[in-house]
Amino acid sequence: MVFFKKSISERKGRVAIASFAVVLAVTAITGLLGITVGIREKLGTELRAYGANIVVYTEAGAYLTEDFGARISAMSNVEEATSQLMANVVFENMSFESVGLDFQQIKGRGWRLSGNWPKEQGEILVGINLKSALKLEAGKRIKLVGQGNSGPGKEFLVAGFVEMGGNEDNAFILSLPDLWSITGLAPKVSAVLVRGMPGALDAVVANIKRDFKDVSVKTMRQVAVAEDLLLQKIQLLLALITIVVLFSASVSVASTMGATVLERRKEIGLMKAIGATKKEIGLFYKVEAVFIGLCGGIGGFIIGFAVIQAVSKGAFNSFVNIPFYIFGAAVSIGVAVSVFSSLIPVRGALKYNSAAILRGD
Amino acid sequence: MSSSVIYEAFWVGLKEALKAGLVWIVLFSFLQVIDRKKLSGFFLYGILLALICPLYVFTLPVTPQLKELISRSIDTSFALFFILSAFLLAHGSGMNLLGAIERAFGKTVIAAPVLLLLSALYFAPDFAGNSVFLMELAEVKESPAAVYISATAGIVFGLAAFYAARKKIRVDFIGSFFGLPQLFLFIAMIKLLGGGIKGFSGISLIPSVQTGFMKFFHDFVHQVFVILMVPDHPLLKTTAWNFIGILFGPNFSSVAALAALLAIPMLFLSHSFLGPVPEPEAETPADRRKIKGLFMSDRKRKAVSVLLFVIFIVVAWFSESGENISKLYIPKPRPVVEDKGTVMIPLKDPTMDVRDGALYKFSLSYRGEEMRILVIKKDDGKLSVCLDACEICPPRGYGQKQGFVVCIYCNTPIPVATLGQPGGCNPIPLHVLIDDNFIRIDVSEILQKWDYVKSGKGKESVK
Amino acid sequence: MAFIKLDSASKIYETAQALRGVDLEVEQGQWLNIVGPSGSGKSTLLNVIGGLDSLSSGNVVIDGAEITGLSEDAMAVFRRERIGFVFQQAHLIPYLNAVENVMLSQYFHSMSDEDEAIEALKRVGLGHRLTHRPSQLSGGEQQRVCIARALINSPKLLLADEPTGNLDRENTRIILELLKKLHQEEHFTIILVTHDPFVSQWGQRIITMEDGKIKCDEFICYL
Repeated sequence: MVFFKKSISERKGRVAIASFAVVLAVTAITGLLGITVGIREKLGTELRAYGANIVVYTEAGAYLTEDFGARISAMSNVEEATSQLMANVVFENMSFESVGLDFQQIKGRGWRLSGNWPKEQGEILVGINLKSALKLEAGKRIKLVGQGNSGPGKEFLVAGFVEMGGNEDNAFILSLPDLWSITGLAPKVSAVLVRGMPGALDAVVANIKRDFKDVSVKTMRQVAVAEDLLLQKIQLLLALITIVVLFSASVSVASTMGATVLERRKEIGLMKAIGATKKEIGLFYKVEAVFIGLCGGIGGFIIGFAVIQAVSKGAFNSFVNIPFYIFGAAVSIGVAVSVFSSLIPVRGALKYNSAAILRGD
Repeated sequence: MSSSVIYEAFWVGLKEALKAGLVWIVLFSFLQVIDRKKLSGFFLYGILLALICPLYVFTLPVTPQLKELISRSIDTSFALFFILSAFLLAHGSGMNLLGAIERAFGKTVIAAPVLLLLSALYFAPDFAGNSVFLMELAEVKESPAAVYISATAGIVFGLAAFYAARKKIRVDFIGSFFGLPQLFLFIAMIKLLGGGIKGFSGISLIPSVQTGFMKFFHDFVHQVFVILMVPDHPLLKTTAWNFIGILFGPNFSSVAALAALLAIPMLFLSHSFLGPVPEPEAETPADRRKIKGLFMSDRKRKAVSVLLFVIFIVVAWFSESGENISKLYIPKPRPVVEDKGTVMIPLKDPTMDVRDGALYKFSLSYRGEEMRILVIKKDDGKLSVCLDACEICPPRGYGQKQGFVVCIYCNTPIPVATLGQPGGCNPIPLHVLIDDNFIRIDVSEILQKWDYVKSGKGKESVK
Repeated sequence: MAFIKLDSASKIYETAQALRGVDLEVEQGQWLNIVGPSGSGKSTLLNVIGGLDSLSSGNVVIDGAEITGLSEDAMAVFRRERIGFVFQQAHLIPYLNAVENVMLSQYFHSMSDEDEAIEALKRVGLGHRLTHRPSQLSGGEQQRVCIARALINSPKLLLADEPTGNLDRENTRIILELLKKLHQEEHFTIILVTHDPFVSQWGQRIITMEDGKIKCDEFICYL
């Protein structure tokens, strides 16, 4: 072990170069895996932000009525059902999306909030993207009018701003009764978001379909499938990049190792002379390759992690969770690349005739 | 759909064959190295013996009880091998526990039947379980024969792979990694990885050890504190119980489970790497060094499979711990009403059937109070009806996890089979009448027991 | 039976024939010096005996073991247990200190043992330079580390190829005195290649190589 430690510390530069190549490779791989896993989780966030895993709705233009929610929540295996109304509202002669829902039910479900939760009717939340666009501030009173409704509209107090990385970021969020009152749509709702018992979702979907005609029921998974297609394209691109980077990293490690081995021909010859077998000498270099792989793998994971978070922050405006096993995968790939690409130069080095080397020519 | 059934059948067959082949190689190599090759035949007879099991199982109907039984025996069979290896490892790490057994094992008369029996015990539950799985597959598929043919093909394929590779296998090299304890540990690990049956059993080692620990700690600490503590002491009552709660919690017990599983392998490992090396007699220092070096490298080889096991357990622990524990199923109480002094709970309505094995809760609003009742079917088919509260903890109620109901407040798992026993952290049983359609309970019965819970008298009475 | 026995050993390189049917027997414990002009095949002979080079034809038996047909790895194992090497250049690993260089040889043999390595260095008179790196040691000291390393695994045979080739007379004498002392104490066989007539006078037997053949073989008085 002492031999190994010293051999590394004496040649920090070379080890650093080889490690750096591995870092690049692992960064790319971590990026690929992380985006695949982490961002997949992001899909369907909208539903998750309501704590739902099933959505019930009708075809475009039609509405459900509010008692749907109550009836669904009484079904077995249903923990909760929230009604939601989507409608357009007019603010300062511009049309915006708005969402009507029950604030109490969504509170603390991972919504990023600046300001306060609305306490009573007449208070609303505003999507974060509208904040600067419309120059709104918490505490300001604004007037909203239901689009296509002849009513006079109503004044609301902006309680706070929300951010969840979905459509809500561009919408006004009102309590359901408020939205009804300005749009005149009471008691209609656009969708019911249902939280079913995990593991019993299929049963819940079947029950809803049985009990309510003319509604569409989808699990979150099905909703996510559509978004999956986009993800697949991104993945393909990343996979191509990864292959290229992996290849160049292997070449780089191989050439560094090759140079190292060339420098150390005498060492190898000497080890042979004092009775080391090829396997034992090879092990020496493999341990070194593993070390380089570990360093590069850990470094690459850290950088890759940062890259993913930056990408995610840009694309989804929030961070992603990277599961622990990706770390394991990244490091093992780093080690594999390093060991694999050191095999060829080391094998070549072992073929030298030690007598010739040691004679000093 | 139908082709995937065929694949699964093939996979099951292949898996069993690979497992048997791997165990065979390891065992054969071990026996070769210790020069007891003759014993290896008895391992094969053991497999034949184990084959009786699936043959018998094929004549039985597939029932949940059968699956449960098989699933348990797989766990038990793993536990047997693990405990055996743990003993032997303890023996190997310096405590000479088993000298007599070792000598006995030197005699073929004793070793052969033991090997035969162990090999049968090792394979029988897996074979049986996979047979059940195949029977289930066969039900899905229109032509059951295809399923069985596919499974057989899997077995043949797996065995053929080993047969083809037999010349490449370096028996001496493999054998040098194994002593008796490593052998047991390794094949236990193979069982853990490949022993589960798709469909109804997986690696349940960590959670089941963990649950066992939780129960143990709870009972133990409860007893200790019941004896030592003055329950009415206001400070102790809250702070101490909160603190003790940690011991019953999933975190503590999962760490304890890990420690329990790893203690002996770690002891062995430390002995392998750091244990004293005997100073051999030799002519030159170089010769002495050589003998020592061989001794140490042999010791390290023997540690490899133990190290693998340790890594495996740690990985499994990280990926599993808490997962199964935290998945507590807590149903929403369904409202029931009282009518002329009786509460009637329907056994079945369109949305539920209380006899389906899941936990059901019902809530009764009476005199402005809400009281909860839990109903669950036990393994013996009887319904257990209790208050959703125990005598000790605040009445947060219970959740369901596998074969247990778990107290939400203190995390104590109570086996469903024991429901109906009064006292301790058990849900308080209710006297009920059950007919074809309803469970009938006297309101006064519920009231009296709920009041008892509310008053916290339970804690005093255990004093 | 002789400790080393070469039977019509021939070695043909692509460009030249280095050994032409050499027959040689060396008794156990003998100190044999090989002399001759450069290109006479003396180093090749040594390397063939040490298994660093293989024969084109003929065979070599050392200590009852026929090494001619051994694979490279089997030869390495044979070498680490029975043969010690000393070269003209010190060939020490530059980033390891004296003790560690000796321990490396122990490591490939079986396991390293620091105390034993220190003891070996003390015996060659380097007790005060244990943790010095090769670059901090003089040529003579480096060569003494090499001797300690070559003898650490108690070989029966020590092969030395111009061990004093790079040293001045003073250091040459120290090295030779040391070899003589160790030879007398431990009775291993020495085969030493040199072109220096002063060096060749140390030992018990001199063979003179010329053109790949043994030209002259004489026993001398052991100094």
